[in-house]
Amino acid sequence: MSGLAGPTAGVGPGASATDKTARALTQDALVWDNTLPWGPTYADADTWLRFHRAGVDLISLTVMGPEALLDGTVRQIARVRAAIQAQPDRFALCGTADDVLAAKAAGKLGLVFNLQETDMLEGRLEMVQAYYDLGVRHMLLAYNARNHVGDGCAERSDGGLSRWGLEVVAEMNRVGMLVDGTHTGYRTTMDAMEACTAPFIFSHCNAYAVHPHYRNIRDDQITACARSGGVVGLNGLGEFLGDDAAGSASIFRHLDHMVQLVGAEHVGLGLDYVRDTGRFWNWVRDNAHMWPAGPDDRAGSAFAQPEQVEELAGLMLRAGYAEQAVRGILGGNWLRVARQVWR
Amino acid sequence: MMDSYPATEAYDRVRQRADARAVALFESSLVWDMTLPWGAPWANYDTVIPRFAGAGIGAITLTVQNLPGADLRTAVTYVAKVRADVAKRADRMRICTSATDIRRARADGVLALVLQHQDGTPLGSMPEMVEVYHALGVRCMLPVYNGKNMLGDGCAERTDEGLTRLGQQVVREMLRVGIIVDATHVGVRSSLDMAELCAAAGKPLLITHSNMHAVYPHYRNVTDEQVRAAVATGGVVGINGLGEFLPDTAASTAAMFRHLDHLVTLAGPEHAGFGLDFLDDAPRFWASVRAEAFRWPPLPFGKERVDTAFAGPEQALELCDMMVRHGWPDDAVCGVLGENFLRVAERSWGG
Repeated sequence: MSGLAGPTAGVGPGASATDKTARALTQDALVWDNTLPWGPTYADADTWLRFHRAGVDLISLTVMGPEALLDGTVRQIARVRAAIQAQPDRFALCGTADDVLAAKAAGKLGLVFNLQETDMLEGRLEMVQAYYDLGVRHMLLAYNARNHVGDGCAERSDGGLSRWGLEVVAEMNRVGMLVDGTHTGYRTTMDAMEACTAPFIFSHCNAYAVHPHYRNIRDDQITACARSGGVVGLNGLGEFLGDDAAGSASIFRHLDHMVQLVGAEHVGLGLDYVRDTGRFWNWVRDNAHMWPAGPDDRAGSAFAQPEQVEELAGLMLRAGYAEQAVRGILGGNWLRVARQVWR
Repeated sequence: MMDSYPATEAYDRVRQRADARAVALFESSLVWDMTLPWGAPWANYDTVIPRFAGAGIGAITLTVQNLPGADLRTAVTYVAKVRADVAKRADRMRICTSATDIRRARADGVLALVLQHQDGTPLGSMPEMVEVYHALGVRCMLPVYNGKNMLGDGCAERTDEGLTRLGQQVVREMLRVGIIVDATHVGVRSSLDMAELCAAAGKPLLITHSNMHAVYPHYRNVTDEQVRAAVATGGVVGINGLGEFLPDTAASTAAMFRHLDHLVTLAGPEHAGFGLDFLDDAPRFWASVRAEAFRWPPLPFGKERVDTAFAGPEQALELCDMMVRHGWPDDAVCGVLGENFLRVAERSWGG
């Protein structure tokens, strides 16, 4: 993959000391990828093992995204739970920060769920608790377009959080589910962050100041998120990075912008890896209401690969980041908010 | 009795007539009603629950389903709603998912609730959904209600063809994740198929709310063969308080006792309990029965259907009184009141 051709690809005989440190650190640290699309057309078992080999210890699976309702969501959750439980020696469904650490200690890949939409509540507040009990640990408010909760980031308008949306945020806070502002309109996220009583996250967003795509978030969103104690996860999708090859150096530019803006303890990973990119881009083209034109011509960009996590660690070390900062960005920061918010 | 639910007048009236030893035994025992319909038309936290708890019932299995044949979405949202309803009353009641939870609820003086599904249609033909309902707190499930569905034949069906392949898969999954397998409302062959799967897994088969076919041959009652098959797995049968199955228009305790006595003579007191199946709004139930003749075909002996009563929770103490007056030993009575269900629940649920 083109994305693999980064400055530290391959730790061969000629590898530098930094490369070796980056590899050791990636294997030793808790590595947490807070977004892996895992709807019915995305799930394939090899991907989990590939992530685990690349040093990833915890993946948050998007068990459902837009264009789905309750029935399809619960069914997909049933399938994914069964797939995890079928291999208890390799995979562990996690519900708490301690579960995540236990899974890593046992050499297993830990998994949690997220939802990229709120449509699947179907207007029922009590479904927040039900999804939580089925393993959903974060949910984003609106996916690009408008829904009952508010506007998405690609919508014509940006009117903010609805009355029902305020209730959803309050219920998520009560239940202990992280409120996620990814894909959501600017005003809607600012309203939600004001209403939210817990650390607020953007599970997979890049910096608008680095590349002005509507899927990226503004500096004041990042600042408000950090002020809540939350974390922004770096996205590896080329179009949002402003680099169709999705190179690690491009991810690092966004990462470094956020670190300079709010500090290393508010940055993490949410790579958003998609294996079948052709299918994804076709879906994007078929859904112009959700995916209007961005700042550049749409080229069907690459997605960052899980092996790039190690490259990113190397880039951070080369840039002089302290080891503790790197460990936080690789996963420690997500663990911190999970410990604070999940019950 | 629980502090938050004072004894009702109806209970006090029974109490005054009852043998003092029976009252003492009843009030110091775990009393578990294994079936209380709790679909939207029946669920009432302000009338039904205080009446049950105020009659000394400490544990109730709630059927959290509106109707047999409900779709997945309806069933999941209803479970979510009941959980939210109960969470709002956490000082008085809680949903229990283990035997330890039930003992703890009793020690804390709060009502123990267990969630049950009657009919497997809400699985949406996905065996994986069994584990999802388990994660949502459901701990007891019967695969098919009177008629026929994708899992098997029910007790009122024209045919009696047993479980389907999917039905076998679903029962195995229930046994794997720890949900009580319930043979109420299912056909004879389905129940025997279920008993076989339970025996293979070393887990009990329960019949949560059915009377004795040998006492009255209603299709909703279970034959001695079915009882023996359940008992062979270590299971328990719960006596039902619905007048039509007894048969007794008034649903008297004496009529229930006849079924209980037959069950205990056949299987021993450690395999008996009760699942009253009480409905507050009896006219609504009888209207639904008449509207769904395919699920509720005619009665035995060409008997005409009348709107019978349902046994009320106060009759649990009457039943206890009757057992004591018949000279049943204390431990046998305690078993029937709830300890037998606790024993099998522990085996089914694990932990």
